[in-house]
Amino acid sequence: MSSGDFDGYGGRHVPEPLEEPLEGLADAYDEIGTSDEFQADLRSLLEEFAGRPTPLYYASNLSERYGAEIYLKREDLLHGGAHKINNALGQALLAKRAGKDRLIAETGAGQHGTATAMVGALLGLETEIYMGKKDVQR
Amino acid sequence: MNVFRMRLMGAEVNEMTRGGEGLADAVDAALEDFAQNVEDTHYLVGSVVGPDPFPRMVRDFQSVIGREAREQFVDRTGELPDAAVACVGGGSNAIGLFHAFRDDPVDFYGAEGGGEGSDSSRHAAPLASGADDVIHGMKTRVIDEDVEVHSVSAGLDYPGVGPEHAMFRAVGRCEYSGVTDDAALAAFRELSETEGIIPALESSHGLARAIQLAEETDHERILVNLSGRGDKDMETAAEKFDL
Ligand SMILES: Cc1ncc(COP(=O)(O)O)c(C=O)c1O
Repeated sequence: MSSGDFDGYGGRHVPEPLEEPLEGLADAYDEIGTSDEFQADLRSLLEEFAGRPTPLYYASNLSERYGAEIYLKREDLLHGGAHKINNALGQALLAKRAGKDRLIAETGAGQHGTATAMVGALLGLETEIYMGKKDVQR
Repeated sequence: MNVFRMRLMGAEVNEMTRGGEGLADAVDAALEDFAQNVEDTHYLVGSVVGPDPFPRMVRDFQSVIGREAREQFVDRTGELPDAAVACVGGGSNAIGLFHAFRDDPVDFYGAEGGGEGSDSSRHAAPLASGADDVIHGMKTRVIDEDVEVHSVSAGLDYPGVGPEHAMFRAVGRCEYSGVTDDAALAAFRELSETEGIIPALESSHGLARAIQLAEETDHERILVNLSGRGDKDMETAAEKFDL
């Protein structure tokens, strides 16, 4: 099973020029991204920059109303206001270690773009965001 | 507000006027940029989508959510939840929550952007209603061609979904359904009023599904990923609610 395979889903269906850079990224992730040093640096940033751990909140009023215990994992309390920062920090740190100096990202609601802009500023990487006009307006 | 925030932090923001002017078009543009600038550029994909290694790499980075939540849940209740619930756009907050529970007897529920209904012609629910296809470098589930991609929340407004979710669906590990715009808006308002927490419209889809489960199933302990806050959604909400 190749590592990008999820029971026949996934894979790498890209034009030929993208094959090699993606292979390079996969190698960088497997080597650098899983190392103890990288993981320790990421953990510090997740705690000190992003605000982890986030609380687990028991929503007592809602629970009482519906007769089941409802618990909320409060990713809304993270820096930037969404879970997107967990991933942005990880990838940006990896990109920096792999010698890249520019980040690009797509965004829908703008949350991922915001997270990318935050980590770009933090790590001193040039950052460019693509966002649909429909989403810019709403 | 988000565009201004990004610019304030020094990022350049490109407005895309092509295609449906939405998330899928932004991905296309970013992929093109990446192909032209691979030497110095990293494409920071925002969800568990795209070609390998993105789906597994983003999953690993988001799995901190479930690792923390599992430990906190057991510390607090002495048990595991019966169900874990999350909204699914590309699927990163959902996979991030689920991953630590994947070998546990915990039922998974994914709430997609049901738009006007996942059997209507305007939704963003490729798992509840779609077919196998290739999009943005991955084989996965994609909405049907005659469906216009639509969700009240921009973050769920995407025609595909992460391949690991397509696998979870195929093997029956997670149950996926579309939550309509109206149901999500109702949950958005309900959490605001009952708990004093304004959720993101995306997250409100997961909440709406959790409320349904509380009403309709015998799940006693339900864990929901509140993936984001609703500040960015004030204008959309103000248009919908007459307050
Ligand atoms: C708060 C929030 N939740 C969920 C999503 C959807 O993304 P995913 O399905 O990858 O978690 C977004 C995307 O913009 C978001 O901002």
